[in-house]
Amino acid sequence: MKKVFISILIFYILALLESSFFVHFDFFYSLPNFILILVVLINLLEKPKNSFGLWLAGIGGFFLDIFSTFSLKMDFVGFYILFLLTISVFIKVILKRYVRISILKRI
Amino acid sequence: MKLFSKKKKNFIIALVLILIILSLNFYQKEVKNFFYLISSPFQKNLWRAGERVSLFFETVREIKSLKKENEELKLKIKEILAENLNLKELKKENKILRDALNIGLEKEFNLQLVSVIGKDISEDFLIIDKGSKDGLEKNLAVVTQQKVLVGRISEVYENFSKVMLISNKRSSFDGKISGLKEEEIYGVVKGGGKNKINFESVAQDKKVREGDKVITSALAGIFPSGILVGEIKEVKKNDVEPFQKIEIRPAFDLEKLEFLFVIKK
Repeated sequence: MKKVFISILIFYILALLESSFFVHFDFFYSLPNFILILVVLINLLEKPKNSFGLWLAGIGGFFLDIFSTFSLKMDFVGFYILFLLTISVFIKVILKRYVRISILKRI
Repeated sequence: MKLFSKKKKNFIIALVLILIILSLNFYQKEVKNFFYLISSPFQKNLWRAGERVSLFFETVREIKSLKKENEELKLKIKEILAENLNLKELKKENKILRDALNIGLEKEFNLQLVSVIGKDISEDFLIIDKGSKDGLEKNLAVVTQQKVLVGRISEVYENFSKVMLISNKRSSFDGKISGLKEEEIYGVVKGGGKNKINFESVAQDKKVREGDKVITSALAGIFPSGILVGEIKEVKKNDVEPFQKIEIRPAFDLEKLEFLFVIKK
């Protein structure tokens, strides 16, 4: 539970930074999505059995939905949650089925 | 005994989450508003900080281009200054030409406007910016726009000429005192060196007063007659000598000579 609260705080700060601070450092009018990168990294690095990555996907997606202006022309809270969850599940399935050795161990 | 199997438990959690997400959409305005409200103080500060930091990096990035731009602008300023100076010179020249036109100099003589590019006050010489290329010849008279005699061309080069001032020791020509009702007084205007001019060969019995104007006479030869030379500054009479000792104050100010006219024949 503690881990979840800390991740909420981290994602909240990341979302704030991305919407207010990093927007000033756009390279060629684009900015990396740090929340997406963090979610993908954690899902890649943790054991496929663990569900923490999925929780993070939900939390990160929620903050992206709140602070992101991207909405595919529809004001829909949940787009990023579903998007990140899908990616996380996809990574987990790939890792579970096709990768025998954990990435951390390989590194 | 477990109430739900693991699969069922996950399914229920997912279902609850989906329901929460969907329900958030019904209150999305309120939800977003709540988050924006609590985040706005942080967002404002972060925005300002981001602006400052990005400005700093941008400045660092742009220093090179700014330096180049600065140099280009400096060059442009120099060009504009030079152009401005040129225009000022032209304006001055224009004024002088207008003045000359007003006193009708151009009707009497064929004139060539020249500008002074060098002075040798101790030797009573001037250097002007026109020469044989512009049709100037040796011994042509040089006057100011007020029709005041300055000197004559003593040497002509292709692009410039040397003017010997009437105050030069080697300069000498016939002159007369103008505007006298009684008999005309003729004499020789001779340079005394260092901006001094003497009026020589005037007999002791001639009445010459200080302030009388001296002009060139028809006997002057190289100079056209009727051009102002200066006014009488000092008259010294000595019974022992056959002629009076008269000094002329030049009608031109050597310091202010900038543009002159050469009277072409």
